[in-house]
Amino acid sequence: MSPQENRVAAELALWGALLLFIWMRLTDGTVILGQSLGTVIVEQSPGRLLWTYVAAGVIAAIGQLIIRAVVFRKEKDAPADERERFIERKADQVAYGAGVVTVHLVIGHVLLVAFFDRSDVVALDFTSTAGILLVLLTVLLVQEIVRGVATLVLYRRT
Amino acid sequence: MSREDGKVRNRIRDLRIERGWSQQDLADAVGASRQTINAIEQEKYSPSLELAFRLTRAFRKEFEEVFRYVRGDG
Repeated sequence: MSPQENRVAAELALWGALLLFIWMRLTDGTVILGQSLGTVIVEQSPGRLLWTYVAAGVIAAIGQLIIRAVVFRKEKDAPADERERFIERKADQVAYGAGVVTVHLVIGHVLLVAFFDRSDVVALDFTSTAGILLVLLTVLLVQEIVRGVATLVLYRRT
Repeated sequence: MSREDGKVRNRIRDLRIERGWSQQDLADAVGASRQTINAIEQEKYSPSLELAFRLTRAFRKEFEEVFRYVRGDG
């Protein structure tokens, strides 16, 4: 794998870990690694929610700094060429599409629950601050994960 | 007017080997990465016009001696 592919793979692992962290902080269900993770949104104090949000941001920033500045610093010496920029643009398009699809899935889910009163479907509670935070951060991270996967696939195919 | 499907073929691998250059040598000469040269040689990636002209100049050839457009399944 090229240094660029290594960087993308490392970032993919970072986004996956961050998604797991957020779901562990904001949901309840099965216990994994001493943390509860599931489909029930856990309401929390504003301070605790802010801590989760700030911690996620700090983890993302430090993770990216380590990946870019320490592990793959050689990449800086070789600026991206046209094929790499082409792959980045294509991956951005795919990630945008994934973001749109994810938002529509959330809308569809909310409408399904509201119209048909489907109590057997896990309901996202948009009157809950934790629920809103969970959905928005999940959409953002799903976009980043799709961008990373698309980039790796495009490096193989293009 | 119907759309014509075709593919850009190239002789970059043959010309590079004729000159005894490595992919990295050619990449350095035209300002691209080795992976990009490999992708162009395998015809997985079609270079921009600018890069295509830089490649042609590196080999001191006419454009159509390096690249050609093949219609359909040719």
